[in-house]
Amino acid sequence: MIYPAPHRTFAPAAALWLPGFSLVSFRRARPMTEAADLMARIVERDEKALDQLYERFSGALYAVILRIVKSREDADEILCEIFLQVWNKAATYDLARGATYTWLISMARNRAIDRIRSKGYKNSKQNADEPGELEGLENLSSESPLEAVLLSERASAVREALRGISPEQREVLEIAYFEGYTQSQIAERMQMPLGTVKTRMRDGMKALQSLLKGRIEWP
Amino acid sequence: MALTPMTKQEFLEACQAHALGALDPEDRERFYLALPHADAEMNAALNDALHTAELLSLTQSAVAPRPDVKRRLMAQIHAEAAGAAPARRFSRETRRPLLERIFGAWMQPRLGLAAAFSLVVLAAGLVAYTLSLNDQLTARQTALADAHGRMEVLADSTRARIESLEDSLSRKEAMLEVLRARGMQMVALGGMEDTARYGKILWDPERKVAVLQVSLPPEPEGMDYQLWVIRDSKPMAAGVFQVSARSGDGMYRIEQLVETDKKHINAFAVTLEPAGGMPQPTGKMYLMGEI
Repeated sequence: MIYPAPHRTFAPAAALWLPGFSLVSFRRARPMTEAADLMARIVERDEKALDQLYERFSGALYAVILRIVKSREDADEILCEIFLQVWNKAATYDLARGATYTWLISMARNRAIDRIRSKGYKNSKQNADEPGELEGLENLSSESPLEAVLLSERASAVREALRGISPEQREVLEIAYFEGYTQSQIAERMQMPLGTVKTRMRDGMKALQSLLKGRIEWP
Repeated sequence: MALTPMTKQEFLEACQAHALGALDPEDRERFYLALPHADAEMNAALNDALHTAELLSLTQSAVAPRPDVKRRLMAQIHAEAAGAAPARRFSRETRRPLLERIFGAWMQPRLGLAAAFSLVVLAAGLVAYTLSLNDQLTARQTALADAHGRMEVLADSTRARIESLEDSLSRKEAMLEVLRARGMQMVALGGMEDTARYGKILWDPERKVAVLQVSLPPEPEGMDYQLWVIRDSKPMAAGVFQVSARSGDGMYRIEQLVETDKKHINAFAVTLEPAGGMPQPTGKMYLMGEI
């Protein structure tokens, strides 16, 4: 089996001499092409490719899952399920869509939210909450220093943008994204009119989008 | 009531909530009804919202999963590749109850069958061993009962022997007591038909102790020897005795003479009477002696 050569082997050095090259375009192209390449190899049942995909994305996915389920045990299980699904369903993934991370993070979030909405999860949390369970987590440092810098820049930009919107808007966005509440549920929880929730959510997302556009790559 | 698709304005306003997964069920259905008819502006708005929502995940610092997650993932993939059972829910699965983890393998058909056969063989062996032990126990219980019976017989015999010796000792002590007495009286009894038969009575009137010593053949079944005191020419019963019941010394303590005044006694006689004695002599007289 012959695979396309990974772009990272020549892109940084060669691209610097190409007219019109920008850091933004490099940042965007490199991870996507590599992830797509890995997905193509996974379709061919290349375990090493799955291993590399895991190494690349598991830390980010695990962080989001943990934030939602607040349990390492549940997060372990969900993360494993996601990569098993990648292995078994890679052929159904549309490589033309490009954004592997979007696909993975969507799976991770949906599964995590399904888990916290499940009856078993609620019962287990009622019986024994584990406040100290998430202590002592090890922050992940990427294998590649360049990749670490790029991810770190994007993460910093998003955090800064999030701080740039109002606390009320931020709270509504975080409850929706990390706790899986619908607009009606948020209104009930925060004891405010549904219309207010909708307005804060819409305005907060637009403000965030406005703050991020131009700072990081945008599809 | 059938839901209607969102209008363009509603769609544009709902894109952000949809990207966050926060639409209520009815709004979500109306959003999906409108999606196939979305124009470029609507699609662009949706893509922007989806990308913005995706970026929210970056607010979390990456966290390294535990190493065993990857190991288990790869193990499951290998198991599936080897044609094993479908992927299991590893986390919950590895936290099965202790007994299920220990005996889980037994539930597999072949191992279960082998285990069942072994158990049957083991049970049969145990039954045979138990029956053997039961037989041994019964034999030992029988032997023990026999030994216990022999011990009881021996104890009875010993007890009887002791009683006999005690009685003999008591009579000899009585005779010695009589012999040591200053006013001891002795009456010789002679055989009436068989001169080989004889007897004597040792009597201490002061201390009121009397002993009979005889040499007589064993009495027939259902008969006793009876001693008579001839007082003022009238026989008075003075007690019955059995020669066969004695150990051979032929000595008897005579209780009835204790209160008798010797001045009124003329003679003693021994007859053979029905068992228990008679008020008057009816049987053959064996011994007779006058004072």
